[in-house]
Amino acid sequence: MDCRAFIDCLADIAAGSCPTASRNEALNHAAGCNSCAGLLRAWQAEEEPGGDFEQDEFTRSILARTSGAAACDAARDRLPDYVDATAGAIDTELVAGHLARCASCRTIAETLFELSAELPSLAEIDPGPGFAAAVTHATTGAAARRESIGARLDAWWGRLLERPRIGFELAYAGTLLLVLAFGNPAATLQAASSKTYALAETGLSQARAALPSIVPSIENRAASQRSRIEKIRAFSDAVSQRRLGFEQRLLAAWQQAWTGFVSTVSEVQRLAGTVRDSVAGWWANVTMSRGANEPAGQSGRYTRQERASGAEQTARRDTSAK
Amino acid sequence: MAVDLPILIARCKAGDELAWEAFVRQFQGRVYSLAGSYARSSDDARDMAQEIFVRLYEKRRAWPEADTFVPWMIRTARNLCIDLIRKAQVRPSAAESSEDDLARLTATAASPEDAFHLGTRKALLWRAVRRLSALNREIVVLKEIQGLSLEEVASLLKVPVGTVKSRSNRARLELAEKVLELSGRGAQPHAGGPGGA
Repeated sequence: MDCRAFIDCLADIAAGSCPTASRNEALNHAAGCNSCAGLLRAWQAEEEPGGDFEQDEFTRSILARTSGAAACDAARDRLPDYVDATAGAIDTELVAGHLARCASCRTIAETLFELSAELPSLAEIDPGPGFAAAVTHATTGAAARRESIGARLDAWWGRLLERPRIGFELAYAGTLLLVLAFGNPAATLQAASSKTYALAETGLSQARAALPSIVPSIENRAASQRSRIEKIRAFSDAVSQRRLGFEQRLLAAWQQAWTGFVSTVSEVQRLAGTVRDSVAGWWANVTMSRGANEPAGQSGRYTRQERASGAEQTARRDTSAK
Repeated sequence: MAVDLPILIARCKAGDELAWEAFVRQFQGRVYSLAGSYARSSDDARDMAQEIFVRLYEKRRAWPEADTFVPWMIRTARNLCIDLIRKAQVRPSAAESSEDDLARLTATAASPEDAFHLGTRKALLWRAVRRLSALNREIVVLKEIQGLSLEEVASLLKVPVGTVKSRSNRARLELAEKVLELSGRGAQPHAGGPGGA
């Protein structure tokens, strides 16, 4: 028995209505097939009489407040491997436990089992009688090849007409035909540009012919402008000369004044030196005359207090002498 | 009765036209199914399958050895289908798909009753496959239907193996939900976790 046959009699096994021989064959298959064994456990769990209602309600309420439907997502992610019997032992156990309580995932699992058995049967479809003959006819023999090419060309033309772009392509081809038949509409524009060019050429030659009569008057006006410019330049030179002379005179006067000031300062310095020498000579004479009458200090020179006391003594002597 | 593939390939490469006919008969169902997963209608699928065989016939001297032939053939067929779709602007969409054509063509069972039920079921599966996103659909077609390995699908689609693995799982889940939806059993998003039974 294969998986497909096992699935077919699964409901009968779970309900207890399966013939003994088929049941034993199915159980033998399930003993060697993890996926079918898990599916059998899920069915048997579903068919068991109630008693788990309170526990299911409790579990559902906990899951609703925690992971929600994440268990279904996780189970469905692993269902293909479960169905292919390529899932690990723990995953197989977990998925089987989930399928035993989740009807929607169990439905998906059953459909996956069915698909595993049915999809390979879609690999071959009978194309109907005559297909092989048509292919061999199309591929062997020159006459058949020519016919095939003709048929392919017909098919190609038919497909070409079915294409959405065929409208644009026909419009393009029609435009080309019109241009070939009635000429290029852009030719008028080309003629217009040639006429414009000829007009421009005529205007230019007329301007060239009128140029000799215009040139002398232009030259006269240029000469008068040149003479004006010369006059302005001469005036500018004169102003520059005057400014230069004024600057030179100002500089000379400044230099003269500075020289006088310097000589005056030198003379004042010389006079000050003379006065200083005279005072120094006078003071030397005074000190020499006093040194002859009064004892000098220990150092042999008078201090300021000694000079003051000496002056007071001299004054008192003069007063007493009077 | 199927001829041994290495012998068949060697005969075809040697130019044996009888072997080529046997090859066509042996692989026409597979090629037609692959073309049908890309085409808009059974007629398109038939044309595309015929083009694939013509291309295989033209390249038969360069066929790989038997151990890598089937993945190579699927790769060639898939690329040609995409080229043809691109050229002929016959890219399929869910709204334009003609599952009834495929249902008619997939009804290969013995009795009319079996043919009806089998055709209906396969048509439903095809309809669900066509409603997948482009990448998921290709992964389901190449891996689950055509039976290529993860590495072969990754090489064909030029994506990492891990991406193919994860996308394959997601694609199968999405396909299961679409099958339930189309069959009227309806995929229940979530029943609030365990205990919802």
